[in-house]
Amino acid sequence: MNQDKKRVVITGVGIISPVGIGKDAFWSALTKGTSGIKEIRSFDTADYSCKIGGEISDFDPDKIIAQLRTSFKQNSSTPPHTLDRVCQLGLAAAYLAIKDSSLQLATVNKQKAAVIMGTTSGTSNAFAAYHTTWLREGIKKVNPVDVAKNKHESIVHCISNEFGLKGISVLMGTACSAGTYAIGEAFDLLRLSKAEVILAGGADALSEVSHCGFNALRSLTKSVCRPFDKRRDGMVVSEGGAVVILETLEHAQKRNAHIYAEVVGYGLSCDAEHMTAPQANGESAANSMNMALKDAGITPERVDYISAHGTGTHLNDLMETNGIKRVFGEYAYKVPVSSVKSMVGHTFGAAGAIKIISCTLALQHNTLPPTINYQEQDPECDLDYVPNTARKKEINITLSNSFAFGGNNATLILRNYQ
Amino acid sequence: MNEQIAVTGIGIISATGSNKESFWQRVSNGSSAIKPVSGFETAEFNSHTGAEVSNLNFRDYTKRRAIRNIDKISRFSIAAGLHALKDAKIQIDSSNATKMGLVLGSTYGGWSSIAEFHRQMLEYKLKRVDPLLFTNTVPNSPAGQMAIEFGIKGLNNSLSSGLASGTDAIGWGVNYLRLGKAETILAGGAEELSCWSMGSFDKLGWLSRATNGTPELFRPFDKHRNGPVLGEGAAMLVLEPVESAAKRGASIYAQIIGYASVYDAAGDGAGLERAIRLALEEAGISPSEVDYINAEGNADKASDALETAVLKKVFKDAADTIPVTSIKPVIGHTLGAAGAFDAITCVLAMQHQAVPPTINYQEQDTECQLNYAPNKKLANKQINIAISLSFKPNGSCACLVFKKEAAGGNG
Repeated sequence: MNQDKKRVVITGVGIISPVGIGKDAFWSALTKGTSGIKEIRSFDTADYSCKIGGEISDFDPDKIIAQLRTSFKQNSSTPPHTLDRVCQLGLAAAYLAIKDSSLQLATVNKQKAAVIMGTTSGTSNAFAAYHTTWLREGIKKVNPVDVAKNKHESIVHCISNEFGLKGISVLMGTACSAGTYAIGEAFDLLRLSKAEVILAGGADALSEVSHCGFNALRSLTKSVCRPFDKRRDGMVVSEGGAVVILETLEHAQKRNAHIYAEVVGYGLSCDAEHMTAPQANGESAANSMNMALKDAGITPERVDYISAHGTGTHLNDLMETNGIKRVFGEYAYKVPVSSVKSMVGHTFGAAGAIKIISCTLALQHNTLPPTINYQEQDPECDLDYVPNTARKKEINITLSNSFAFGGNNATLILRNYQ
Repeated sequence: MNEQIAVTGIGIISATGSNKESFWQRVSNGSSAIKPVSGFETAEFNSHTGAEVSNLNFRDYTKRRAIRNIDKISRFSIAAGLHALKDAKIQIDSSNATKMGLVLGSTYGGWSSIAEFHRQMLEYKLKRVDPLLFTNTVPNSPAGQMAIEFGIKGLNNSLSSGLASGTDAIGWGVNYLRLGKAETILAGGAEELSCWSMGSFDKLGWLSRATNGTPELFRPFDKHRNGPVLGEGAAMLVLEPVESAAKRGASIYAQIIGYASVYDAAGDGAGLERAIRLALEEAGISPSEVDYINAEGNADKASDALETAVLKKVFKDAADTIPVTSIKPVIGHTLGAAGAFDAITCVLAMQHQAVPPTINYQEQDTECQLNYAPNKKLANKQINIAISLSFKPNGSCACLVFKKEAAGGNG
């Protein structure tokens, strides 16, 4: 059935991130090497050794969503405050993506318009809020309005609902690789002609549970997040919402859409070894990259840039470097690899989608975002990590990796549309 | 162009027991596993019954020694997965590990792990939180634990679409096989019943409760229905292309020949109608060819009436005769796992040539008038085509279409 597969393109990007809201602010920060990591204010960090994170302090959901609704002349019966923050981040990003794509919702076949998002924590912040009341004052004091916010699937359903989209609407729960899964799964649904246009991406809100959990696992940095550096000592938790508009090529052409890039390959694999520790030799990560390359029908040497998962933990960065060497051989030393998490932090379910937006913009601007905070080479991590400064480079093909708890690995390959 | 997909193995962990035989016996005889909840205190809730899994000896299912950190939903998933793989006679080794895939649907994953980790955080901050408990809080933890247990190294996905999660996971597995992304897929759903899930749904007023002298009772399509009673467990299916299943001499229960999933916020039944029509269209089946409909039938006042109205619209005159049943009053509403239990019910109904009943049915509602096979199974019923529905009126609506394997199958 391969000959029946449709081509799939990216025609819009929307992003809410600690380094900026909207693609222009986001891209400007990335190419300047600006960090969005600050001291966390939304919860008390006194008991934690790591006190920093990527908090989007200028994201006022009531205001931003109200403004977007007004500019879209979009009526909604859902006040933003009835949604959990993760839904607000995803919904705002969806608005920005639609705006960027110039998609006219009135002309879209709603039954062929789908939503696929990824997440790690889902609406667990909403649960934590009423669970605190439940534990301290009893269930009788819990407000049903707060309980109603706690539905993981509301991350996708609130977007379908907002825009009257009637195609499939499913949430990927594959944690830190969920954003990559969501875009990959949307790519497959479009290839199978199950939809014509899909809003795909990921969202996660800053969560004390995640901060506490990763702190307990000793995964958080005690200094700064410096992926691939010899003295790297961990990640930082962050938050974000990122959505891309994916369309079949014919659908995009029919409406004369601006095409950013084409999605050409999607790979998946599972370590099946350990819930948290990645496989140090990178074998399973290599399986995912190889599957994506095979899907795209390209040889490794044609990849011009790798957007790394690059969390900044010792083991992840070692594993990823080893995985890249397995797949790319000698060429591994020639292909630039960078981690935007050095600036954005780990946005979990949004991370993969943020990386796809960063690859999309890298292709558009022929510029590679850097790995910041990079100072000292690790003999075991000896690739070109685009240290500290963005780099001009003519690129045609990008590869983006995401890895997660449970050993869930995913890879996406984009190419300039031609 | 749509490759035929076979169901070659099934595995079940539910309140009816830990095997497909006990499940089918209870479901077809209408013997409910719902009882007063014993696993946690319900005094402060309005509802007090549930279908809990008891006597699951997880040691029988795992090769691992350290099992303390494998939480309830992961134990259900692993145990059901093991049954399904054994049933399909599949051995996983280095020759096929990367060609095996896994898809699991669940609405909320390890809810009790999330609650317990959060409680520890509130109480102790960093001092005494259990880092291994934290790894159980992510939605893909059960699927990750299954991959580790079985050594499944191909694609691994966890998805959620509310009540449609289990049906979507199976549909996703079908799509993966059709795209050639895996040779064999273990797909299904899992859900655990906890104080937190029951308390939350109770708070939202969704569950059946005792009112005006009528007891708390799960009675789909009945005039006095007033909501579901929750259940728990996991249901897993082994899926593979018919051709390769036949090549390895596998027993085929049935084929999955159609799947559709849509969203509709309107709550007027248009979403469910579209999901059924799209799935039948993909299957190349006309409504009159359908022999059995496994309904969502969750006893929600509006949902059951809407489901009935949609079925009348799609199936027209045939709607009066095609049996439409809900097994949920036997095993409880297992939420994200329900679609997978329903899928297994469809293939077992084909195998046993019997339609399981809708139990607790007492009084007809003017809004719900179909052949619900009330209280007693329909025996000696040839079922060639069955469909299974999972939906919420203003949510995801999904439908799977099953076809009985003609010859040489498990039946």
